[in-house]
Amino acid sequence: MNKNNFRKFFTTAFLSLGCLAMTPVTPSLMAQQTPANDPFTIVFLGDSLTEGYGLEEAESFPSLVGEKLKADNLDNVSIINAGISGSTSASGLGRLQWYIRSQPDLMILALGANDGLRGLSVEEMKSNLSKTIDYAIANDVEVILTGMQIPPNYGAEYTEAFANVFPELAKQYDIPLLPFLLQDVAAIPELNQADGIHPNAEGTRIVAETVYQFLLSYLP
Amino acid sequence: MLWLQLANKEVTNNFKFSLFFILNLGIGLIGFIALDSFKSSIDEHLENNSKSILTADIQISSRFPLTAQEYELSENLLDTSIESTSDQISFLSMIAGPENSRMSTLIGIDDNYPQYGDIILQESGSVARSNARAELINSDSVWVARDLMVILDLEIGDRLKIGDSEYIIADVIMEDPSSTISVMSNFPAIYMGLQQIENTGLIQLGSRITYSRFYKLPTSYEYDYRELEEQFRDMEQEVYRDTRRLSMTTHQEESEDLGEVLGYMNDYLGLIALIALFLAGVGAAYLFRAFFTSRFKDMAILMFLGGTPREAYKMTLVQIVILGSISALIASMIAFLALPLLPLLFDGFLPRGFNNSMELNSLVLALFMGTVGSIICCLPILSKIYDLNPIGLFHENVQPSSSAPHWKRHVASYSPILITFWFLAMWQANSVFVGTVFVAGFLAAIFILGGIAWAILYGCTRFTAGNSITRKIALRNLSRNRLGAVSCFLAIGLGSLLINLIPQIQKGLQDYIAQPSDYSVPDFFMFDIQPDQLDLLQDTIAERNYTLSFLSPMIRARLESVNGQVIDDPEETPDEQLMRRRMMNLTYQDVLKDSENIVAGEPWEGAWDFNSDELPGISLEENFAERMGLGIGDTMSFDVQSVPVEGRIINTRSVIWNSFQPNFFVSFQPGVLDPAPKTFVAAISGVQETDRIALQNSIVNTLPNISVINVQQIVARILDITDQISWAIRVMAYLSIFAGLVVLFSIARYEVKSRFWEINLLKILGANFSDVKQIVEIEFGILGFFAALSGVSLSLAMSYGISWFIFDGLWSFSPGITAFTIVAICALSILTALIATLSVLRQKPLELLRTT
Repeated sequence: MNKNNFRKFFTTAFLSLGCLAMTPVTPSLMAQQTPANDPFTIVFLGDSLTEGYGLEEAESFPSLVGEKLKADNLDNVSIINAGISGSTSASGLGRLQWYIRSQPDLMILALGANDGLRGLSVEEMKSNLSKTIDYAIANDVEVILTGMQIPPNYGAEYTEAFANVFPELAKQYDIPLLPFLLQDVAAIPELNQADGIHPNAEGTRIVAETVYQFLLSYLP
Repeated sequence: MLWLQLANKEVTNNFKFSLFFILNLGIGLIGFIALDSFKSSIDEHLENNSKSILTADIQISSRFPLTAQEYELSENLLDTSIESTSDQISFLSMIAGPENSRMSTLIGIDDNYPQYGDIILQESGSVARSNARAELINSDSVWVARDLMVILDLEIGDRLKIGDSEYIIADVIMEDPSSTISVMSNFPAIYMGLQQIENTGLIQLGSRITYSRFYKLPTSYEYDYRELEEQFRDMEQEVYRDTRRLSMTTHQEESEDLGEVLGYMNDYLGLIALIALFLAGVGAAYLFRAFFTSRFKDMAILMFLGGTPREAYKMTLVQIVILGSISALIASMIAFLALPLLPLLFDGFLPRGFNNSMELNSLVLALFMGTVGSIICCLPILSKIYDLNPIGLFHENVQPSSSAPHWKRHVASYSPILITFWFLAMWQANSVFVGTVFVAGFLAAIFILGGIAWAILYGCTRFTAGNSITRKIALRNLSRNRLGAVSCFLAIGLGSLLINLIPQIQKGLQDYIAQPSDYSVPDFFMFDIQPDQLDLLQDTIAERNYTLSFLSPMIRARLESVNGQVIDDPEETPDEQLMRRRMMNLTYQDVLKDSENIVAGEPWEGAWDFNSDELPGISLEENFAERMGLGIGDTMSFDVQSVPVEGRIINTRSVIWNSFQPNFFVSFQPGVLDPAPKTFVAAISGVQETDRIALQNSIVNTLPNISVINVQQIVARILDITDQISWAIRVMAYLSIFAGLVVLFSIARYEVKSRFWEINLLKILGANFSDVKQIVEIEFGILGFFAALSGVSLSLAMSYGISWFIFDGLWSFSPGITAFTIVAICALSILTALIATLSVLRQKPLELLRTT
């Protein structure tokens, strides 16, 4: 049901947007429009990058993605910012079990950065993310995985093994992968806070645009 | 210059008397100088400690290479010459051993590091005293933290691959002062040269590097670190607009964990110094009063021979200055000689690194006290010279005329004492408010003690009936000589108040800073424990015969509104905004931990009923509640991971933070947050030294996401410093009591001397030795007991007030000290009175008559 809702939402979205000319939408998808009183719920399960560390809640990228959708006259969308600073992949499953009560249609899984920064085992992280994805799929929640990278100072071997986890999981579960959440933001001083790792308001706007564009491009 | 000659003659002619004065005042001043020197010395000791933690006075750092412009801007801001600098590059990296790997902190240093403190190596020992540092920065070698050596199974001489290069392990780090900087920086250190760290190839575009420059500044350079940080922030904003690139850390900030304790200690020691100062003032006033009372006749003669009150004034002023200066000099000399002897006397008791040199400030203050202070304290007595009438020479006992002195002169003579005391109080307490309250408290105490004395002495007349003639005489003496007895009562009462005030506050403060013995200090803190990992974690620890303690759920939430109002203050600074935007950690608990106490409101009973109309209960830490301006009955609404949760504050609690137990600012009643996504924090205590690394490895290997922080070293360091402070406070309290008792002796002695005529009369009338002795015992026993009782009772009330104002209500009653103070003061009053009376009693009445 939820899988269908996921499609229904984007179908509705693009019908409203008048983007039909640009995006091919099949008649079957068009036929499954979500009723107006049944919002399409997206849960962003992540860490401080998702939470919007050091920013106002409205400046976090999930909120900005929601704003962009609303700006496109998509009022029937509910955004849940499930970002918690410092959280590692180990918390993913337990937290999803909490949010599953909100009956999300789509989960943007953006965990793993803290595992890398803390030098945790790459295998363990992969296993934790797998459990979270398994649980989402078992509950008819669509999953988009966001890739993470860690700075090169952590050592070539570790950074490579870390970065590979995300495409491997995407391939394993056949789920969409946003290659790098901080694309065009990471390592640019002007777009990051003083800690050099959390995007500032301007950087977060770019992250939101990246995620938003990916959502668009992901649609058939 | 007649007055100058006369003054000099007075001092030399009354050599015995002057000597006695000088010694008495000197002892009082020694107490003060010693206290002040201790205070400065401990300040310096703790300051050096915080410098050795940062390894510098100030650190400027950035995530990007520091530019010449940034150095220039920072250095201009410091506004002083720079003694030396040290540059550092540090970052985290995964380091692999033969079997496993571990995240580590790589630190590239130059040959100036550390500028304060020392690194202790296994083979080379002290880095400051060996050439190990020069060898490190000139070769491809590294020093590795002991923990990492064990974890990665490494030996000295092994080769370690870091990035693109290999390095030889030259030594093992045993002690690293900077390792206590952050509880969260749990990654063991690897030191290498600056050039070598650049050669690792790990510094690339996108690498997360910290570039730092550490500054050592001249010791004479004084600055307000908060102000400096503010200027730094303004400068940065000017250069980089809204982007924050740089950060500045001062050594004071580095020891912020101890900031609260240090703040309390400084306030407390300032207060002790002030009390000692006041005691010295009271003592000085009494001593000079005794002196001038005996010299009124000479002054009357001077005036009879044509001298004016002005000349009499000059003469006495010069006497005061001479006596005061000599006292201050002698006191300073004794203190100067005695302080270096302290380590010999208290070998093993003095804290490590304690500097017992005398401060110049203390000397200057002692001279001020001895001269200007003496004059100020004696002004009310000096003012009596104006009432001195040469006609008094024809009276038996020359005294100033009893006509009421002009009120303006009273105000003029007492005001300088009050103003000086007030200014000193504000200076010592570092606060206008605290100083003012302190002085107001003393004035109130004087009035209250005066009232009590008057009532007690009035009551004495009602108990004069009975058979015992000695008791009758003693009580009637007290009743008839009410003015003198009240003044004696005031002096003893005030002395008791001061003496008991110090240990009373000391106990509360010490209870706060000292590690409570019934709390087990954790060895490890653990974060990020997932609910489904609890069983496995407990099993892993149980395998090594340890148990989890202080297991607390931690739920992240964002504060949305207070009393229905969304928090939004346009006046907030960027830092305050950042603080507010940060998520908060909530917990829930059935009962309070033993380190918590409810200070207002009621505890909750059981879990919150979901069907209840009432909001769930919230308990706030008292200081947090104060900062947020919240109280009982206020409501708080949180966004608990997208679910709104509202609660009502039903109590506030105090937390003993140095119990090292996991504590939270906001705690919810159980039954509300239980299903919310959470992690747990926990601790493990009582871990054997030999088990530490094995236990840590076993947890990390079984549950790698759990952060295991070895807090033993940090806790030990903090406890070491708090122990030193406790020691200092204790010693200062005893010193102050000693100074107080000396002054009390002077007061009691003066009071007995003033009974000279009465005692003499009794002897002439046929009273024997034991009768007179008994009369004196009863008189001073009553005075001493009631004055001590009143003073001590008042001190309890005042110490409670002071604790409430300065120490956030840290107060505890110590009955032992209180009882001892009352008995000791009472006994001392009687003993002093008897000793002073003895010389009079031993003389024959005829001789006494001849003398007069």
